[in-house]
Amino acid sequence: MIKTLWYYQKTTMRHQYEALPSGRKVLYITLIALALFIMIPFGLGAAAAGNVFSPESLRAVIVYLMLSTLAVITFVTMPRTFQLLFGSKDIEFLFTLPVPSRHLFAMQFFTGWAGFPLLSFLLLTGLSIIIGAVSGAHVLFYPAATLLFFGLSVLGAGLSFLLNLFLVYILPAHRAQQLTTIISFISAALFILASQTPNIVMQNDSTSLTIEEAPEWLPTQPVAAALFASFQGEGSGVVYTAACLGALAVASLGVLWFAEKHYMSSWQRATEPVKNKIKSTRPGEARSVPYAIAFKEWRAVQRNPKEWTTCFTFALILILMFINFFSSGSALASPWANPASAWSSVHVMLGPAILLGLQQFAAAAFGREGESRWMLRVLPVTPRQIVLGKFLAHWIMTGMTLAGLELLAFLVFGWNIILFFAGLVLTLSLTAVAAASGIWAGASGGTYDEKNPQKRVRFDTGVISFFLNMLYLLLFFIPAWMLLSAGLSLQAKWSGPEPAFLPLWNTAPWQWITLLGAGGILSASGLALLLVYLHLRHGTKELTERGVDYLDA
Amino acid sequence: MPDSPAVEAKQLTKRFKEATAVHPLNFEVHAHEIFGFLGPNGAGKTTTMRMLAGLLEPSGGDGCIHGKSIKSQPLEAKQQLAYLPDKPDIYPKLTGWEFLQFIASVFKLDKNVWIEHARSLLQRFDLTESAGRLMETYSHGMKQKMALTGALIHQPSVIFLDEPTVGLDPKSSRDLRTILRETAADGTAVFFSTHMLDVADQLCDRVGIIHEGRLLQTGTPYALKQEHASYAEATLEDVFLRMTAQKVSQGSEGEIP
Ligand SMILES: Nc1ncnc2c1ncn2[C@@H]1O[C@H](COP(=O)(O)OP(=O)(O)O)[C@@H](O)[C@H]1O
Ligand SMILES: [Mg+2]
Repeated sequence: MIKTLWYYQKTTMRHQYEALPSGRKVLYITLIALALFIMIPFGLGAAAAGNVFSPESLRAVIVYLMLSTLAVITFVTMPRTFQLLFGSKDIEFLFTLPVPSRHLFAMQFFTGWAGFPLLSFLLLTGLSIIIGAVSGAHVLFYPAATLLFFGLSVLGAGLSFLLNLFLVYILPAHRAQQLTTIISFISAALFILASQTPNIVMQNDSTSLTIEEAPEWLPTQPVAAALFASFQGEGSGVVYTAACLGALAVASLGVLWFAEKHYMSSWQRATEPVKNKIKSTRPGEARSVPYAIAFKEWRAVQRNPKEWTTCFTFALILILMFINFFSSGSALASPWANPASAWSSVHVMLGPAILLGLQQFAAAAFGREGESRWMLRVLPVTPRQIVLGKFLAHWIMTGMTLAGLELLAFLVFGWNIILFFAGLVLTLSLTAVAAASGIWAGASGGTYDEKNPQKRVRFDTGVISFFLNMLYLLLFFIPAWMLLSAGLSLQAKWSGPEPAFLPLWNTAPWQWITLLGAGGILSASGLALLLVYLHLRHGTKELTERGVDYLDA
Repeated sequence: MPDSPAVEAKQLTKRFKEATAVHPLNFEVHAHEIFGFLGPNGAGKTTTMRMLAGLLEPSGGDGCIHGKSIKSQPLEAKQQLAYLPDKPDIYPKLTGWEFLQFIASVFKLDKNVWIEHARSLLQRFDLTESAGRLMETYSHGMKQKMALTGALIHQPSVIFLDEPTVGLDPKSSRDLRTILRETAADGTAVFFSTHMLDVADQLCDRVGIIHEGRLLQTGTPYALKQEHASYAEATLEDVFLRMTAQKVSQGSEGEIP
């Protein structure tokens, strides 16, 4: 049975690979080569850094690193795992066949592992081979490291499956539906924490480079022990490695046992249709076409929390920036001390978050059509109206939310009205650019995967779009600087000079302030207008050129 | 405009990478007419209709809706047509009424007229209760009826229905047939595909038999039965089975217009 399933899975994966356009294959291969290339200097650096630590600290570092690696693997894999377990159509079909759910689970498990966990395994093994070679490890180190990292990746994947099954198992059915959303956000938060652990640990004592010994009970202690012992060629390395792998085998059996017991019932809970009470809008006057399309988008997003997961990068960047602003190593001594520096802090955080994070939200708009896409094509609407409607929907949604945030910040930090207004112009411009570039990406590289909002744009289009937005971020520094300068000068005029923050502006003449303020507002909105126009125009063109059946034929 | 046929296929062709799904087709459907497109599974019915409705780019030839080419004047053509696919997936996160409002907005329908019209259609389809619910909670048949309501409220002059009776219960199926007759009486050209021959026999003014992408014959059900009367018992089913079987055994060319 498992053989048949395995064959089926293999064939599907091969066909998926074959169906990739050759440009994308080249891109993937280039990225992998690039990653390998970067790994060499990275490994050398790590090997050099290793010498600075005392053996005890090094061990603690490795214990923590392993732990955060395990956490990262687990949480990054979780949303995909959820999709594999409960989201895919073929599972529905396979459940109707007399296949033991253990076999189904094993197949899904392999597919889940073959993504991010496999990648981490390869990267970690590659890194440790380089480090081992540079610092003269015993031969025992190489097989031990390979096996241990393999085990770590399997355990991470297993934990992500187990957590998903367990959460669905304990949650009431109607909550289980929203689990992907929740999991995505939780895993984002945990991912950030996990990736910050080495940072936090190191910061304690960055001068002496000694780190308190990691607690003995940490599960990655024996892994570190195995690595160390085998590095020195001690026989105990073999024992430790074997013990770790044994523990892993036990854990895997546990996961499989739980899966067999609860997969079917969890699946039923997670896919049970939800009866929700929805207030329908009353039928009324015909709306203009773009507005009707915008309204439809709004409903689709508002009523489906899964759509919100596309704002995930936004939240991620915001949280990361926040942590960095609060951590002691920040360049600004006190980013929230006075209104003016709070303004710049807030906008330095919001700028990248909006431009790099919110564009995926708009980009998902085309894939959202999914199986209903025939509708827009059979109706007498033009590509321009579609693009405009979708742009409006996403701009209004993100713009309104961020305007609310601005208002909140205005109240909390006591900005003057000019600073508030300047902030509003800036965020509305930024959200417009993010929405427009997202719409462009969706129009030119959208895939109709309505189930998974994360996968609605082709990979290559996503990459191009990301770099474009990086560029826009740089461009927006100019208006942001002008606006900030004008606001600061005003602040200085009204409430006295700001302590130690850009003292130059304390004495700026009124003409300067006016010029800078007007210039900032004009250049921000002008830049936004230009970028929005270009993106929407090109998006319309792409949508027209791709024709009606580009994905069906 | 009254001179041009409601639907006209001119050498309409579709080639996919693997094979030709529709060989050059020529036919016309007129206003007031119910035209049945008969063919076994995989004959090319869906492909033809999707091309005519502007959902699929023809590889050759053209289709016209009241003289407006679906290729070069798609907006004008789409303004006059409605299409009901075999898999009527419609916006899962909209309620029935919100969907109808969307259609009304696209066709700029007058508020009082469309709401009145929609109410009576929903009433007939037993959808009055469900119209306030999200369409993702609908069954296949309910989705189909809702999509049909959306298709009818803008009073198209041509309506394409792809296997419309599949998934409908007997009552809905009969309601549908009644509605299609009324629609045709009002001057709409009704173009529907089916492999259910009794439906076609009862309902159609004219049928076309399509097999392996070729239109074998068109005519009134009566004429077809007459022509083949000498071979079989002369039900439409016999004609259909005979023609499609013949095609396989001969494997020959020959387009019978
Ligand atoms: N997107 C496609 N790619 C390749 N072949 C297709 C595609 N769509 C339909 N076909 C082929 O075209 C033929 C006609 O299909 P279709 O029009 O759906 O038949 P039916 O009469 O059952 O509606 C079939 O042989 C089918 O395999
Ligand atoms: Mg069909």
